[in-house]
Parts: sequence; C-alpha cells; structure tokens
Amino acid sequence: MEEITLREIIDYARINEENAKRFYSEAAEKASAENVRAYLKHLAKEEQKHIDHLNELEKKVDKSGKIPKSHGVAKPLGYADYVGKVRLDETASYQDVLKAAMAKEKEAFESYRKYAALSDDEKAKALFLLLADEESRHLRGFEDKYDDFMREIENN
Amino acid sequence: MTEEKKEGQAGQGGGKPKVPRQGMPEQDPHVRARNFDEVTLGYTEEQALLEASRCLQCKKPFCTTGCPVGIDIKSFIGLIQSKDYLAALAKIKESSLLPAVCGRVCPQEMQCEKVCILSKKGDSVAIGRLERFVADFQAKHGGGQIPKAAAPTGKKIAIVGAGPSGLTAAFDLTVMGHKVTVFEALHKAGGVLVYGIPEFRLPKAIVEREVKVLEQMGVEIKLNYVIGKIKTIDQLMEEDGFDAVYICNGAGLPWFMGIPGENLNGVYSANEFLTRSNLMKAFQFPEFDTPIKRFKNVAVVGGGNVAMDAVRTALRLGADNAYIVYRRSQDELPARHEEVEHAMHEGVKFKLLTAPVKVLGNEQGWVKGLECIEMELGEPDDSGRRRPVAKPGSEFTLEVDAVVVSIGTSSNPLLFQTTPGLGQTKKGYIEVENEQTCRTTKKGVFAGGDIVTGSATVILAMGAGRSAAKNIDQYLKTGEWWSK
Repeated sequence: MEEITLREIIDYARINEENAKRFYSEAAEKASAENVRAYLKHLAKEEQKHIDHLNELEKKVDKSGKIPKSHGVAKPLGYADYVGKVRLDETASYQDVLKAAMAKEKEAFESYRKYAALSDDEKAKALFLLLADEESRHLRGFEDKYDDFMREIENN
Repeated sequence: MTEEKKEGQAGQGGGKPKVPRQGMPEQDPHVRARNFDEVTLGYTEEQALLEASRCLQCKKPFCTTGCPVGIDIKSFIGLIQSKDYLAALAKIKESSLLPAVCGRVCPQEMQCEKVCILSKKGDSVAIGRLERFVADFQAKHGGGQIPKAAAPTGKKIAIVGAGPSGLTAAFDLTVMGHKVTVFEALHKAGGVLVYGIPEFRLPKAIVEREVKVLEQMGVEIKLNYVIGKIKTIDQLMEEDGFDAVYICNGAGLPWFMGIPGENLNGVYSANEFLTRSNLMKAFQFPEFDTPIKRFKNVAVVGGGNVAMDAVRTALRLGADNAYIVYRRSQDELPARHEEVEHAMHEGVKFKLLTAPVKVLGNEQGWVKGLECIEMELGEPDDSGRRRPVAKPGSEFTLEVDAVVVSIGTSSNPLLFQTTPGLGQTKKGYIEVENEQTCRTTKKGVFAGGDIVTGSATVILAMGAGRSAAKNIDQYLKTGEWWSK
C-alpha cells in the first residue's frame, strides 16, 4: 500500500462523515413524513459530532504522535448483512432510514478494516483499526435500534 | 372427537373445597388441524359452575385492576355462582361490549388472571372462559335486552374504522345520546375480528351478532367507505356537520423484511393471507369467489399471534409442513402461550433462533425455498437483554413453496396525507395528548387503538374506544382542547 500519513487517514475519515452528513441532510429534504424528516436531521447532526470528534482526534495525534486506545469493537447482530439496500426518497420510513444507516456504517467499518489489513505502517494500521472499531459501535447502535423496532412491531 | 385439556390441581385455601381449574374442552389436535371449526368448545354449565365456585369473592379483588376496561369480575362470577347468567352478562356489558370476543381472544393470563389471588399458590380462576360461557349462554338461550340510549343530544360523531375500538366507542357514544356514524373501508364491520382472526379461533357469527346489536341501537355503519379517499376528515367536519371524529382505523400496513426475493410469487403478508382466508372466505372456495393457492410447505416468519393464526391457517388449507421461523428464542415468542401450544399440538414446526436471509425462487418466479441463518443469544447488553446474533456459516435452506411475512404492521399513510394538522409520532402513528384523552393535534379529532399504540390487543383497543367516547362527550359539552 502507498505510504499514507496519519493526517491523510483522518482527512479520509472526515470526508466519509461529511458525505454521510450530506446524505442524511438531502434525504431529510426529500422525506415527506415529518417524523422521518426529523430523525434524518438528527442523524445529520450526529455525523457533525463525528466530524468534531475527528477534529479532536487529529489534534491529539498531531500533539502526541500516538494513536489513542480503542474502546473496543462491537459484535454486530447481523441485520446489516441481510437487509437489502434502500434508497431514501419521499416515501422513506423510519425502518428504511435505519436500514440505510446500517448499510453505511457497515461499509465504513469494512473499508477501514480492509485498509488496516493493507497497511504496513503500524501507526496507520492502528488508526484504521481505531476508526473501524468506532464504526462497529455505530453499526451496533443502529442494529440495536433496528432490533428494538422489529421487536416492538412483531409483538402481535 | 374432543379432548379436555388437563390443567393443574387446585390449591386454594380459605376453607373452600379444592376444585381444580376446569380444563377447556377442545377438538382433537389431529382433527382440528384440518378443519376451520372452532378449536375450543366452551364450558358446559356444570364446568362453569365448578370454575366459578373457585372464586374466593375477595374483599379487595385484584382481578378488576388487571382488566384494561375494568370489568367488575368479582360480581359477574358471583352471579354465575347464583346461576343468574344473564345478569352476569349484563354486569360484564357495563364495561365491555364484546364479552364473547374477549372471552376467546383476550390474553387473560397477562391481565386479570395474572393478578388473581389464586395464581399466587396455584391456578387462577379461568375468568376468560367464564366470560365466554355467559356470552355463549345468551347466544344459545336468548334473553338480554338491547341497551337503551339517553335522550338525543343533537351531536353527530364520525368514527373511522369499525374494529373493536370503533364499535366500543360507537356503543358508548350512542348510549350517551349522540348520533354515531361508523365509516368502514371493508365490506364487513369488525376490523381485525373479521379479517385477521380466523374462524377457528373466533367464529364470525359472534362478531355479526354484536354488530347487529349496535345497528339496532341506532348506529349507522357505512361499509366500503374509505376516509381519505371518498371524503376527508375535514370534509366530514366542515361539510357533513360532524361535531367530532374518532380515528381508530388500526395499523394495517404490513412490514416486510427487506431481504432479497421478497417480491417472488408465493410471498404474502400475513394480512393478505389471512384476509383472503377469513374475510373473503377463500377456505370455502369455490363456494365463495376468492381463491387461495394451496401450498404444500409454508414458512411463516414471525412469532406473534398473527403468525400463529397464519401458520395454523396454512395447515388447515392443506400444507404438509407448516413452519414458524422466528429469530429469537422461545421465551421471547410474543404470541399467547395458549396459541403456541395449540400450534405445536397441531403439528406446526418451530424454527426458533432462525432468521430468514433470502427467499429463493424458481425460473417461473415462484418461491422454492427460504434461506435462513441460525442465531444465538449474544452477551447481555446494558439492560441485561441478550440479543440474538447471527452464527457465521450456519446458513441453511428450508424447502418451502410459500412464505408468509408476519413481522408486524404499521399505520396507513392515507389519513396523514389528507388531513392537515394531524400530528404523527416518530414511529408513524397518530400523535395524541395521551392515551387516556385520545385528543390529537387537530381540534375535534380523537384517535385510539392500534393507530396510536401500534399493534396491540383487542381489549386494549376497546379500552381506547371507551376512553375516547368519554373524552368526546366531555369535549362536546365544554369545547375544551389542548395545545402542544
């Protein structure tokens, strides 16, 4: 793999989060259901928090040259592997949004894992794994929400 | 051929003779699995008297607190003990319009019977079976009177949906003297009682009987009338002069899993599958016009009461193998224990901790299998719950020619699209001030039942209908509303 700096890795992650923020904001513009629109706006705000978090991470890495310790990887429930992809248009439901979010988080998790595996540089590898672990927790968060939702609706 | 379900031995104290909880006579599982006749046959008078004799007539009865509509259970059982069955029924009807229905489909084990004092040391009084007994007694022997309405108030109320909630509200509002019109989208009144719950669990003649009583009381029921298409809520109020509207149209829009292959021929929502069989009488085709394909191997995805109804219907339509495919464990099956047990006895095969991942099709576009993956319970989360997680590499194929998806329902968007000012919750249901007042964000418009809570039980929907009626009456007197 080509040599890549830690700052470039964080830049890459930031672009991903910015894309996600744009994705949710644009979907919110399209959604006709008020409740779905509100949830999409909330998710766009969450992505901004991730961007802020990356900015903080960048400062820490710049200052110490060390990669912070991971809070661990979350085991997925498996929903993201099997629910089909959805396009968020004006008919989007809360369930659709969760599916789309799971797909995005899974994609991010897998790409960071892949780049970690391809990295020769220990610090770059550690940073990719740190990012992957964070995405795994985001993914699990959405899978838990989806599981709660499915459990609630299947109750009768 | 019938069999009587064995139940636990009695264990109550209080100096009363130890009479065991009376089992419910029911059709033999092997016979009933191939017919649509009612599974449970109801108590004989002798059994009802024995069961009623178990009631301790507590000074402070907990049972009534466990009933969502607050039936005076102690009193009605006391009247059975005195063999005054019609008075017992009248006592129930002070609080519940549909005892013959609730006696059959209510989850009493989670409500009144759960808090019966006898359940602390043994089996509770079989309250639901006694409720059914008195309702069936009247149906068989006649008697009872059509409830009288108060003097007309001159107020008009529109009810959207003729399910258990709408029928209950219609009854209460009519008794209060208001003029009620019920708008029903289908060609029969009853809602889930006629399109959802199968004949073998709830004979439709019972529902028809109750609807007839309402009509005799003066309730007008307009069938094949879709509010939001034929007329909007605003038109009902502004053009037709209705003083208030109660929306209780249920949550009838089925959820699907979103896995590949769900658009193949042979994949049904439980709603469609059951509506074809129950409402359209497809199980009696060609006597009735609507056909239904008879599948040999059927997988029903889900674990609730609707899933049990669908899988048992599939058996009765002639399936050799009928499966329940459910991603969680047996402890988490949301269906009533009694329904799960009935399904097991009838030969339904349970694939638990199993999640569908793909519906497989043949070249003609028909279902030929359901690819599944085994699940296992993961580590407990912060709440202590162990969520099911997929076991990598455990995929397998269930050879089926039909898949019925029964993972729940949501609200139909039609009313939101056509009713400006009607608030919606995050989950897509109608926003109300609270479930007691039933007041929506639109003045004069009330809502209750599944369209507010999501899919729940018949008795909870009836409870909402009762609350709505009380609050509509109050609104008509005061004109008071709330603001967010």
